[in-house]
Amino acid sequence: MREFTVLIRKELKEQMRTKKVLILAIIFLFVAIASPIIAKLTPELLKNISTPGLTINLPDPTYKDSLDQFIKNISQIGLLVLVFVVAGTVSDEKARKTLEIVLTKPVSRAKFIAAKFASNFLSISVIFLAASALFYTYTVTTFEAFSVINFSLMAAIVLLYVLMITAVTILASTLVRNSIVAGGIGFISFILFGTVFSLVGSIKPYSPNLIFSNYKDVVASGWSQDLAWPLAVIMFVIVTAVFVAVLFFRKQEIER
Amino acid sequence: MSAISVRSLTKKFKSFTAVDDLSFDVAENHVVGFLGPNGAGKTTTLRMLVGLSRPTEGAIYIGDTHVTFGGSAANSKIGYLPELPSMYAWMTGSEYMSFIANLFKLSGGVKEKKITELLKLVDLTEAKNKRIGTYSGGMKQRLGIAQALINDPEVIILDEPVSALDPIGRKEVLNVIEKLKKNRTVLFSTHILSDVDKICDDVVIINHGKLVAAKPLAELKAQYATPLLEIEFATDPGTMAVCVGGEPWAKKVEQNGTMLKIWLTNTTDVEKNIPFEYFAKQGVGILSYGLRLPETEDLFVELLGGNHA
Repeated sequence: MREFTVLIRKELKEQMRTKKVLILAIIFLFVAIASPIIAKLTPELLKNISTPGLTINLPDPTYKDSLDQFIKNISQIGLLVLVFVVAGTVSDEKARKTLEIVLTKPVSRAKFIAAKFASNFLSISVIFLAASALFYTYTVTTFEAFSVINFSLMAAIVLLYVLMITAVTILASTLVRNSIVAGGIGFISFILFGTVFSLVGSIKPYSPNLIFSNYKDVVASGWSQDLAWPLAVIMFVIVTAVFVAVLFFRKQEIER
Repeated sequence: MSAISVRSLTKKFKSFTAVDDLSFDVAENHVVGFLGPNGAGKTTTLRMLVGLSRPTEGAIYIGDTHVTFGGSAANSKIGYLPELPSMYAWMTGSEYMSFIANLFKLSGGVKEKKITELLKLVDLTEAKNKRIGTYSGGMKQRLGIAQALINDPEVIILDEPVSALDPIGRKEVLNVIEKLKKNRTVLFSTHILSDVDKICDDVVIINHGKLVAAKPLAELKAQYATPLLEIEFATDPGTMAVCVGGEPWAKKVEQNGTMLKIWLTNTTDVEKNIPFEYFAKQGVGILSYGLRLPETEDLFVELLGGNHA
């Protein structure tokens, strides 16, 4: 257990020193603050661009518009940055050969890879939950109050989706040697989860991306049974990604 | 028991055989030079010894522990320094040592004492709080050696530990290796054959992945290396090299200005003064005349037919 703790501590320290955590925190916290502002100001801006003969009348923005902005920005800018920050997790160590010395110490390869997943899950969860808390606070002060419990549930579901993309990207980083390729695979997986499931009607109810169409219902009414299968698929993908990465890395030769 | 036992080790990359049925033993507390020309399979072999590369066939033992690819059972017994070691650039030298020490479950005063000792040994005490990213190649190499010693390993495996160093850095590292031989086994690959003469007890020579020789250095020199006669003339000896080449006691002759190098068929002729009498008759002044003891380079040339490392 101690070797796992040592590896996780090293990973977290690396994320801090190489500013990876900082980049992610800036992006996610920016999204948290910017989303309510954009929701609030968009109708005003559209009113101002009204020309004679063309009047744009929009309803007053609500917390739901702020929520729309938050989810849209997290699922686009947030995930794009996340994929490219996480992409070098294993591939950079292979390319720079920094793992050679570590792997000749009493370190199991399974723990080496598991520590990569765990440390990224931990830091990303903290950043995402901090951003969500900031978003909620800013939104309820700008608009009207809404259920904190339902919002927390929605944030937890979206976080699992974010962790799924993280897991797939780290798996790609384990399989390939180039972090750009790993990032590309992570990004493509994000698109595939959206398109493949929606193309085939029979598997559509299992699509992880369904959480992005049901989040307003969760915030309004709490848990929906429609989310059970998408969440099960998300959990399955996360566990499979970790398992396959460990399995593959245990058999992977570290090339010179 | 041998410190390292390699049995029928083979490594194939598709159709290319990098290491071919290699077997050798390394005795405990010996410093062993691992030699061979470029592409001979030295690095591939060393990487299999530390479990970074998977053997196609064969077995490796460190002491009585079987080395398995991807496993870490033998790792607590070894210290390994790869060629041009790469360490986390964002860590300081001291942090890196602490990280490696933690992997060996060292803690508290024991850990701190060990780190201080080793950084002093490799002369990095002053630079210990600087980021590794700012270190020179030589400093990284020395830090690499320090990390390889943190667990007091029984066996130290060093891949080209001095190749990237300047002469002073090389001397320092060789001194460190020599100090280690008292109670540890060191196997190191090198291109610098004069270093082997300085510190090695034994050598393992491979070529095209196959074993050429694995013996004590002195025994190998006595067995294979050709005695070399070096003569310096006062003036250019002209075509003397061609003439000497026809003598039965001369195996090979090389002329460089006023210097003549003659590889002899044996030392008996020198003891009988036959070459000396031959040169005395030529009427060219002799400034120096001496038999040089065979060095590892001569041995290497003899065994590998001039295919230098």
